[in-house]
Amino acid sequence: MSATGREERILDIIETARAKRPRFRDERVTMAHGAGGKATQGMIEGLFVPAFGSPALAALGDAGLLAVDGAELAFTTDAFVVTPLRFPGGSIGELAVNGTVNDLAVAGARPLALSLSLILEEGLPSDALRAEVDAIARAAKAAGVELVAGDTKVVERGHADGMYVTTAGIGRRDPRSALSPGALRPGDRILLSGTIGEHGTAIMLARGEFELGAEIASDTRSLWPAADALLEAAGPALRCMRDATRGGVASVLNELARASGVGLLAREAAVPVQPAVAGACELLGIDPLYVANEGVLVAFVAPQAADAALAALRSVAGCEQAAAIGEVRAEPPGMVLVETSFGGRRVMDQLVGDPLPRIC
Amino acid sequence: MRFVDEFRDAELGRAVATEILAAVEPGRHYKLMEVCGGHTHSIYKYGVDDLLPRNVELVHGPGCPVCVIPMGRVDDGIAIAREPGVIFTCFGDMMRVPGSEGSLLEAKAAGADVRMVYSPLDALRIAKANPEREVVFFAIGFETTAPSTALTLKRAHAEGVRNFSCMCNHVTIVPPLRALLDSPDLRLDGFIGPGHVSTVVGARPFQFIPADYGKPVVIAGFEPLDILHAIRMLLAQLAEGRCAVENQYTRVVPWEGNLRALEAMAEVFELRPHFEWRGLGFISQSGLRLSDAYADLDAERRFAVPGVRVADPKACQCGEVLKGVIKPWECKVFGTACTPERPIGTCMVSSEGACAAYYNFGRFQREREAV
Amino acid sequence: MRVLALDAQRGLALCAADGDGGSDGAHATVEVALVAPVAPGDALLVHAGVALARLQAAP
Repeated sequence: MSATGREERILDIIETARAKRPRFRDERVTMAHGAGGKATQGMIEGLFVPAFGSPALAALGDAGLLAVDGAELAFTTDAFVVTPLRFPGGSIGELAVNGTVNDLAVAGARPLALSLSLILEEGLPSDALRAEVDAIARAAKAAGVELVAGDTKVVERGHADGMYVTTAGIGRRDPRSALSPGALRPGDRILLSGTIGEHGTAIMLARGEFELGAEIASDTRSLWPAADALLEAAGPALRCMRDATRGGVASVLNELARASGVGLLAREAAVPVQPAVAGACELLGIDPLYVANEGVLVAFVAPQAADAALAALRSVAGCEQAAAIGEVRAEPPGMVLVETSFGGRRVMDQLVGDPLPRIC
Repeated sequence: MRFVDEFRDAELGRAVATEILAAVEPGRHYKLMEVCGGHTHSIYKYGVDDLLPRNVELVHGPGCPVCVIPMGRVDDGIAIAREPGVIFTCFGDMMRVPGSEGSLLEAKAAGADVRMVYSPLDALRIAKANPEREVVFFAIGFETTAPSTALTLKRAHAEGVRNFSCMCNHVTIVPPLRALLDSPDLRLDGFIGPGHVSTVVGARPFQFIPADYGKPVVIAGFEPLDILHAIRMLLAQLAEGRCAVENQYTRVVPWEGNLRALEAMAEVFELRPHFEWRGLGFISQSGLRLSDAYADLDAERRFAVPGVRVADPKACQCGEVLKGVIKPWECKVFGTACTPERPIGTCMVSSEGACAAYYNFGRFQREREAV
Repeated sequence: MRVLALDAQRGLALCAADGDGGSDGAHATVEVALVAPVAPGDALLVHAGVALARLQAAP
């Protein structure tokens, strides 16, 4: 077989392997399973989905969609294990509210109510607890959601790292939304709601483990205003939205390419990054596209509505740097390609390991 | 002045690419080896390959320090990490390299305190912050990172830090290059010389390549333009029948290298009589260990390590990839039994390994003209 | 990286990533023993927390 022939055959084998449903064969849980990349996906698609078997879960959206007596609801949950508890730009309490609100928002559902579960470590200073309770109340008010149920547990010193917070949220599907990964079509544009890589970088610097510092704050915020603006400007031309958290924008693009079977092309030069974040990531050898965010959404919009959608996004506070970063293509299916700022092309694969553990 | 951006400029890149196209002899095939993991990474990250005509082939050499660590040394590291009270520190890529019974990451999942650091100085800080624990740093790398380890050990002495030690796996660049050039199955036209190693050792140590083997060398920086410039310089030498060591990275690399760095290394390290390289076998005078003056900081003397030599799995062809004899996709297990999630060999683990670079960044469609 | 400030006594420099803003950009503490003396504004090649060379300006 000619050299090119053999190379093609191997690339085919890789594609087939990549397209297959992953199986969960690891002997133990490792930190990689929490990173939002391949190991996490293997666990979700190889263990959870087959076991729990619901079509809503199998859709692998940020929220589960249910129809109850004609009402279309979205339901979601998220846990927060970030360390340290407080960091520039926010705290665990704020993340807990915004994280769940955002999962609902990108599912096209107006967030209505949250439940809150706290697991507290014995010895946690009450001031720390009060600070988080206040942060949660403020964030809930800012996001327009009611806190309607809760639970508290305490565990012995040495567990829970101060506190772990879990929120679950319920929202009502907005009538303007017609979202689905299956709706992606070649030619659709990819929009980002703002600059990337801030949350993960801020956390890592806040841990003070490395001789590195910068004025970078977490970008945690409610994305409902952005989602609302997009739904208004684009309506059914808005195909899909995703919250780019663990694993960053690269992970979201990969998940969607897999789920929808289309190809995605992103232009590195178009991705907005704050200089301080770009600098810190460069020093550490990490790509901002893989760093977690807590206030960035990725939206896919049909080409005729893309300009209006981008303008609408930019008018939302905090989203002034929103940008169009690429488009959907038919080929290569299930893969994400990047046009580098140098003019070459490469594949943007999913994360394998975890560059920044416990960042959300 | 922005040193980095101007070397990533796409238009300049296209201009140099055009010059390369013009410099290529029609019908001639060029095999150029780049020996530095940083170059492998850059080439794939920026898609530099895409800008070259098909008859200029870039071959990846053994310049990835993680890729050359044999499984037995990983096992030794894990043995130390499992000692009670030890905090084991290493660079991120090292954590996923498979030993005979799993990687450091898996040892961490099973309870060992293994932590990722970005520099040995971070590890020293951890030692100072945790005086009741023993902190071990797993040092890897060529002459680029050896000065960093050397300075850290000097600081440890100067500051009287006792709970710190280093397991040294530093290697030097010249012996494997010689071993490669001596091997019969290799046919290379020239070398893209390692940019950062040269900052420390200078350009002089590479003179044996043109002198003894008749191949040109151009030391290159890491930005995509640097690599393209270096390729153009190599093609010029080949076209003109010249054969010498040239320096493209003049803004950083001094001809004599960094004398202070070399002095620090001479004080802290000595050459091992031989050291095993994954895929390349035992190479004499190629690995470093701590000198007697620093024996008190040597993890291999402080802890008992099995020191067992573990043969590579039969299916693994890392050695051939490291020598540039085969391309990643020509390895029988590439992409099938050996993937980034389940690597068999080190070339798939490190972000600088040829296999990982190709798998993660590999071009999907490339239409490159042949000249 | 670019030198922002020096701690000559300890042989360390505070540096910012190249092309970056400066004091609010990302900064790291770097050993400069191998390239001293350095001054604020100098551009350094840094690897694993240690400066290995000073960058000469491009001609």
